[in-house]
Amino acid sequence: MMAFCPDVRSACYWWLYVGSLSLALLSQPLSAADPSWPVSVARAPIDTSGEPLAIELAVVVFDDGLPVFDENDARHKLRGVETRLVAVVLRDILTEGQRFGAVRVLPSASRFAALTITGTIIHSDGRDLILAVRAEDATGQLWLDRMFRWTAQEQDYRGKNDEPFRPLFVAVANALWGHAKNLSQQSVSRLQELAQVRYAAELAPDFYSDYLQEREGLMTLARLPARGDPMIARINRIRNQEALFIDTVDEQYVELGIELGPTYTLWRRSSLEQATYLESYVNRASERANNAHRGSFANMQQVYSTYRSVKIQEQDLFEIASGFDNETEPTVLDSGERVVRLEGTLENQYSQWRSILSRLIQLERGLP
Amino acid sequence: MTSKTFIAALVCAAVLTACGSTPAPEPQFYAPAKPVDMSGAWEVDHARSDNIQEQFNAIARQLQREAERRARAAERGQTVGGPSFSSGRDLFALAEMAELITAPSLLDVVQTQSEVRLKRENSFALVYMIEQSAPVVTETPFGTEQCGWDGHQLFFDIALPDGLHIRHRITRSALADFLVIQTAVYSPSVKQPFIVNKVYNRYNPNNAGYRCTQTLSRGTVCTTEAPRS
Repeated sequence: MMAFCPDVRSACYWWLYVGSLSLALLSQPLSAADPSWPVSVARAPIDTSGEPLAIELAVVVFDDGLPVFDENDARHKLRGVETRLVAVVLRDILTEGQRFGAVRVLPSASRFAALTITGTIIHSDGRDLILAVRAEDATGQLWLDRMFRWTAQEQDYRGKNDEPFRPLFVAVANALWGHAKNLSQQSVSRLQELAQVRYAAELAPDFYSDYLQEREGLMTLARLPARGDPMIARINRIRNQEALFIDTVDEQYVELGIELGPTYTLWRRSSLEQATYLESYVNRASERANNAHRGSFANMQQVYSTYRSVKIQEQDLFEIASGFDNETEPTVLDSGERVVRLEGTLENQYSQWRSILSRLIQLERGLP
Repeated sequence: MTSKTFIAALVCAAVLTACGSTPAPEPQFYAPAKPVDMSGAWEVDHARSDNIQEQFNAIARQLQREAERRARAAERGQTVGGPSFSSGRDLFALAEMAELITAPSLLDVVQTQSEVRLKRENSFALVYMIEQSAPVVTETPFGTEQCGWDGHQLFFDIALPDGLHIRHRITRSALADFLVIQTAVYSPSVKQPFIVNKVYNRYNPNNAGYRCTQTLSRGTVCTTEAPRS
């Protein structure tokens, strides 16, 4: 290339450069061709084949995937909101399929459910959503550990209340069900029992750890607590209280989705439109010939105006994120405070329950 | 020597030494970063900033004298070395470009732990992501940007196609509350850069009696309410 374009700032170098890197510009903040990204999932209906299974699922609020969270950065705050909204949407799709038992959104990881789904937002803008999703059951077996991507089109935004990235969430739900539907009812029952004992062991490790054993890297039941075990009854009571508590937390997430959903969709739609416009502008600008002689005002103005326009378009995406932030900040803060308080309470209750339960165990066993 | 006379001298020197070669800025060596807080709203101080119109006039007078000198020499059957009129036009073009590039009169600098964002009125923002050390290079199909701290100065070097090169250096005065942005514009057909110094004073945008916020669903929303402290 250098043989044809001796000056790296020449128009011919520029033209070739545009040809080879026309999509690179979009990588900040919108990217279109990161080779590490998976291919977009196929559009498919929710798989409802087979009999439903009574497995409780927990979807943990997603990780934001940011190396450093800057609370002053509107895009980071937006990502923080997304971590909750994405979990809520996944829960909704899993519930819609009616293949599993109760599906709850948890503020942090817990041994509460037989199957726990965690995830990280790898990339999110109005066009591409990439999630790394991991699902691990009570035995420690991985059901799922891969990335999902959906590239939205204009048509995905046509329905007023439709989730534009629904195919991605359906793909996650189908992948989970693809694993689950091969399980026998007996396996499901044992998984639920194991989940119950692991939960008990988490609360009272000294008392219930013996009921568990690790075999080939997976947790199994060594034995079951006796029927009518008063401690198990107590743990189940606490577990039900926690379920109620989590459902209260869940309502907060639902409210968040209702309040912020329309604005969030608007942000995503605006981002998509902006990205599409930017892409077409890049293409048009790269095809436009600059016939004015180098050094003339016309030549320099065209070069500078093109650069300025592309930068402004690119930065408008940031402003859109700021616009979202400006519009949602009071709500997010309110919801955030409530959620943070609830998270804190949930975590505090865990430790309180553990200490109370440990004390009860000690009292019942006659220990000082 | 004031900055204006310095620039005028620089312009004259540029006229006399201009040629068709492609200049490039000198390679840069950066001092260890000593970040300075530049955040806030800033407006241009025209009285203390360079006046490009005056520089235009100086160039015009210089070119006129040059033309007259050439004409007299031609009458005597002599030839005069030095730049031709085309390089004069290129210099005018460069000055016009400098005016275009330095047009923004309002700045809104947002400085966080992770970035410095200089939002310029009616232009694109100059953004430096702090986590990387200077120079941070960003390549795009339409130009390459380098930025970072050079001591207490923030710099942005933008290399654009066809030899257009822009170098901004932003300094916050240690003694008084003002910013200076020195912009050097390089053209492939003029040997010396055209340099413009703009001084910005801090101002309070709320003094306008209203303040505006960008929102998504309602666009720009303005209010006359005083901001909550």
